[in-house]
Amino acid sequence: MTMVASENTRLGREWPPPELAAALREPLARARAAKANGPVVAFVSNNIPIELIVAAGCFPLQLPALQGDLTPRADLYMEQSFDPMARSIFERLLRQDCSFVDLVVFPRTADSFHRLYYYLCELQRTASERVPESFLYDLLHTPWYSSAEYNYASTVAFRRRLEDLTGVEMSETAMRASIALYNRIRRKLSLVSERRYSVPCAFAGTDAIELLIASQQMAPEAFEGVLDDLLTCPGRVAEGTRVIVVGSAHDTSALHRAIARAGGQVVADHHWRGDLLFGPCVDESLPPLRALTTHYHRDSASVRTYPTAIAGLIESARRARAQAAIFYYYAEEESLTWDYPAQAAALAAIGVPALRLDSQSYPPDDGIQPELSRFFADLPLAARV
Amino acid sequence: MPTPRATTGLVARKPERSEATGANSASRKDLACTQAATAYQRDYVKSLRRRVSEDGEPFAIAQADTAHEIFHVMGIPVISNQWWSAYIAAKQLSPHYLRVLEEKGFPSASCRYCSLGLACTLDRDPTRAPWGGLPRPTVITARLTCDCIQRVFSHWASAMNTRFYPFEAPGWTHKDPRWFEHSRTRWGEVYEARRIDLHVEEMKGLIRFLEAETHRTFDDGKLATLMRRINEQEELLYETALLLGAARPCPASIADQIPNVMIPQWHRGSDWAIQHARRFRDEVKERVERGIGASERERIRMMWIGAGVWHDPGFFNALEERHGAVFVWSMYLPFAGPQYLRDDLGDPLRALASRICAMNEVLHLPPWMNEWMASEAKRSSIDAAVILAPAHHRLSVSGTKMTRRTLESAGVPTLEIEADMVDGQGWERERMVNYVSEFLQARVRR
Repeated sequence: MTMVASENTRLGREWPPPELAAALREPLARARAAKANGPVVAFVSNNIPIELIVAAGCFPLQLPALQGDLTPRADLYMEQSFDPMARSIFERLLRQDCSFVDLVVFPRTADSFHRLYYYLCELQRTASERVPESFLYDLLHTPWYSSAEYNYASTVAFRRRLEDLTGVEMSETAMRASIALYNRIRRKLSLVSERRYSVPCAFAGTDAIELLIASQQMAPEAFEGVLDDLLTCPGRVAEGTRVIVVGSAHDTSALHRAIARAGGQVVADHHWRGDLLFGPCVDESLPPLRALTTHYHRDSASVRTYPTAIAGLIESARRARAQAAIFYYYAEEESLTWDYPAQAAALAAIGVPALRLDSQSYPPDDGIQPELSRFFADLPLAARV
Repeated sequence: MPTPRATTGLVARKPERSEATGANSASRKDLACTQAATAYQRDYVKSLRRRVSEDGEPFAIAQADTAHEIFHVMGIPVISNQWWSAYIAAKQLSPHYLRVLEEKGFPSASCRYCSLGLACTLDRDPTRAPWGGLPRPTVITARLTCDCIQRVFSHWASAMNTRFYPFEAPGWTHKDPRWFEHSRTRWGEVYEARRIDLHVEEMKGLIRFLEAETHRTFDDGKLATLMRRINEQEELLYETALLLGAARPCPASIADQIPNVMIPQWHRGSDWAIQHARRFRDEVKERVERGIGASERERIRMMWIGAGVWHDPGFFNALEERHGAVFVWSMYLPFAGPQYLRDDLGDPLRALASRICAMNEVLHLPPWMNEWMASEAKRSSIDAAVILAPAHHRLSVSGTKMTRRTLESAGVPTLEIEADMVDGQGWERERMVNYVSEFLQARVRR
């Protein structure tokens, strides 16, 4: 993670603020420190009900990948074509970096993580490696009622697993409080997004993605404090051709920085570590387990969300007033690439040209810079800044 | 216990992309029943267009791991997508169709096994497509075993102006390493009641859809009868698998095994399928009794893990001829035992769901895959194993490294070949045969 202030943003205060910078610099530190107060529950996607983790009194940690590091230990067991974040997280677990973690929760909603769950269970069964306890949150992403009922049972099972871990029954009050806390975060993140969507853009793409990355390594109360501070400061202009990023997920700011260097400015992140990370607010009028099930079933996007909706992408591009789209796919991406023709056509229909960067490295490297520069140079004048 | 061997298996890297040379040849078939099976399937597909286009019959395209039994009960002809892809590959049409995908903006480098049928449809060239291409189906079905399947099949359904009916592939937390010993009798426990219940619900949804679309009805009694008949067929196939595992020399090559098990599986429970399974068993049994082997000089008993090399079926014969390396085992035939046979047919739809709801998982994920393969290697006195590791098919490549480790630990030298089952681009027969030859010379003493 490059820890320099964004080139284009000059906020009224230091950016990133110290607590965010610390979370970015040492992504495991807060979770490790929180261990003294209770269990640490790690997870690996946006499809895990983090509200339950917090309601159980546990620290929620989205396991950070080892960006750019080699993965020799994971490579012993994991084949080619697995998502690079999954491979990297596997390496971290095998290295014992996360030995303080009490439970790692995997989603069914992404093959690479789903299969990693089985690999870890097998390594544990055969005593081949020392790995933390794993749990599968068996969430299905077809929209049918049969899937909804199945998912409800999965949410109940997750609650039970957390109760077993803490030895304490999870109260409805705690669940409601946790849902309310995360809903406040969602609403405040929406306000941050409005700054990105404004013309001119008032919150740089690199800052926005780093804010979201840090959100996964901090206690939610601390992260809400960061948002409060941020929202009291005036935004500052972040120039560049307005870009929506689509495709594989980004848990680094490397692509956003490369786009900024090429003359662009990421104003929307249409991927699961970006604007789709938290999803809309959870319905607080429903019983908590039902509300969480509905939210993670219907409103938390995954590569298995069926049917694939183009409307959300177009709405996001419109709201962000995107002038260009950059589709970035890791070499291992085997699902989202099938959406490209329809998505690019729909964006073209609203006047948003697209650049497709296929078979790319994780994290993005400097090799993409010439292509980005050519793309922005070739855009119509009106889209250039 | 055999001494554990080093687990650093070799991996053959595929050379740079190039067009298939056309040098790949058909495999040698020794059994008379093999010709009968392929002729039956050829006639079936030939007649399909007439039945659908002229007679107005409904028709379905289904992934291999879906409940074809539903279509059989309702008298709806069904084509397996994997069979169709394999056939396209055998006709050396994959390079052209993968280019079609690229031209349409779709990825050509991922999930070729699942997407060749889509490409054939998108090409819209009946003069090139086998049998003029598939007619418009009433429905296309698939289990969502990979993240991309919903997309590939949605595009395909859209291109064929039909409906895609997806089945979920939920997680599986009851991990019984000896599943293959319990799946016939304790299937409710092995495959988890809630997974079975979900699949039953989804199958009922498909039945309701088909009844509305085709005005045909689904009869529980017919399903019960079909399930009993399928058991009869699978007993015959599994008996044949046991014969192959025990006999020396092995009486049937992999090129004879696969069509004789898979074509009856596509028609499972039918009169023809049962009769053919019996004919296959009888022919194998006769060859065992007469001491006739697939190779005249069997020296090494091999295990092939993964789908076939559909674009070059003669690959296996070349190894037989050069080394006396006979592929005694491939997954298709022995799978008839643990994954198809079901006791307790009191609720036939639940029994059927238990057959389907983990059909892919047991072949590609630990602990199911590796433990079954190790057990089968022991049963069949395997000397060495080769695993097909298609880099661009995440499901098929999954579990291969752990399986290699398990087999090596059990004393079975194991080689991975990085190659695709349906895409022959970059595959060079001689080079691949040499690669396996080097492995056999280095690791197997005979």
